[in-house]
Amino acid sequence: MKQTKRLIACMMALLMVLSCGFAFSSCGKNEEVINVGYTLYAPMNYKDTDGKLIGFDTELAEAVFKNMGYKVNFVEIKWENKYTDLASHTIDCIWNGFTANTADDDGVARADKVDFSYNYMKNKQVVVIKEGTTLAAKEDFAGKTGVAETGSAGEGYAASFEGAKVKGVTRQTDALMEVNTGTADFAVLDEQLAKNYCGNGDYSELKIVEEFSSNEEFYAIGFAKGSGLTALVNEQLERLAGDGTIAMLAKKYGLENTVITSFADQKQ
Amino acid sequence: MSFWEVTLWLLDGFKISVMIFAVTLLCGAPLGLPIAFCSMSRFKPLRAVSKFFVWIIRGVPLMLQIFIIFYVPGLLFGYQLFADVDKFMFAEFGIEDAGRMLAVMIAFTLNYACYFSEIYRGGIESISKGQYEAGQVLGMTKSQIFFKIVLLQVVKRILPPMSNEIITLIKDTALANCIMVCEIIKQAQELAATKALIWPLFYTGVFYLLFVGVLTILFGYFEKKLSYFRS
Repeated sequence: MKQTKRLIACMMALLMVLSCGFAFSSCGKNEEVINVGYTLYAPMNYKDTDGKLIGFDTELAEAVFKNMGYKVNFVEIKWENKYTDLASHTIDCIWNGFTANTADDDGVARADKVDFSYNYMKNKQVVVIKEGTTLAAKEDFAGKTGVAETGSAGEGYAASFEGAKVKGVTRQTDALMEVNTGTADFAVLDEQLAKNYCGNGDYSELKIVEEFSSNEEFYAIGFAKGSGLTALVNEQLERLAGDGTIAMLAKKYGLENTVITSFADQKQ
Repeated sequence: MSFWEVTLWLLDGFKISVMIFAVTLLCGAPLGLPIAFCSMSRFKPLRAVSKFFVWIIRGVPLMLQIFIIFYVPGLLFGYQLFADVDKFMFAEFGIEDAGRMLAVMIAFTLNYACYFSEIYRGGIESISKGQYEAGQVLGMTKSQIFFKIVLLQVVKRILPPMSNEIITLIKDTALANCIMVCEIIKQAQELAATKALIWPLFYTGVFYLLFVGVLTILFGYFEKKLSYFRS
């Protein structure tokens, strides 16, 4: 009797340990779908009135991976978790207006953390304020509160304004809302997005202060270090640039002035 | 967006919240029982393992547990079950976020099973020894004593702490937000992000309030039903 009870007890303990471990055991890899990480960000990835995900990056990613024989599953991520998501393979790439030639606010270049595709679009960081407030000189930033998306290129750039206190928020659009509602004095974010929002609809009172824009930056697609996808995606980018697809998409989303359609000078 | 459209949009998110709630309750409540038995076992190593497990799960924030379950397997083994579930469900059924949901459900179930197990343990240990002895005198086996005498009284006694925990559970589902599961608060934040609508975020409270209201009435009813034996 005592023996059997012990046995049952042991089995229960084993079961408890197994039930945790079992969840992580393999179940056959599915190669036909690729997980693309994004955040909501017009005009790159955003939803139309029917709730369908559209945007330049959305359509370009679909075109590239379709040529490679993949179906694309767009996975919304928290931008601050993007490296964790890549490293833990919950996503296969970051395709979301991802600024390549910059450092995060820890000072480490992004290129040291992920593998980048060719640069496919020009961008810069801009300062956005509300109508009625002014930022004329660098000194005006002292004592002001700025907002930028946590882990974004904008957050890194915002840190360069001396005397300003910079707060990280979850989304770039949250930063705009903070300025719009007056909880922050200025926002630092991608020009592409700022241009799309400022002066429109609920953000009609927001404006870009051109003189504080950053140097030229580039968007590229980010992959885990050593990923085999990088070269394959680059190949497709060249192909789609060649047949005019990239230019056509850029025109559709009003990005023809910033898009890059020749990758010859980026080849190694 | 009209009030009605916003309500429908938020309801989409609340469905996910309720789904997490239901799965956690259906899996966590039964799972708590074996854990409770292990914690009360006379076999020392088993008791130690069980208590250690409960200590870990109760001692770490649920949000961190979600991160651990979702990210650590991929970081350590380079294989991501949840990403593959995501891909599979998307390819086969067009369902999005399935992997993330699974991760959240596992985290919630483990977490709540541990809390439940301690409630069960408290309930079982509150039954006086005399009742076991009475059962023995009547010639009942151990399992007969447990199921026919003890368990019924335990159910009665643990109902108030259980309802407390269950009410907390529906509000805890908001934590799924941390890995971008589309529960109701994330749905509301999306409206704020894309349509600059801020009031839906506060409106979500109404959904929780209604749900908890129904739960409160339900538990009140059960308590009344189970109030036999009281004189």
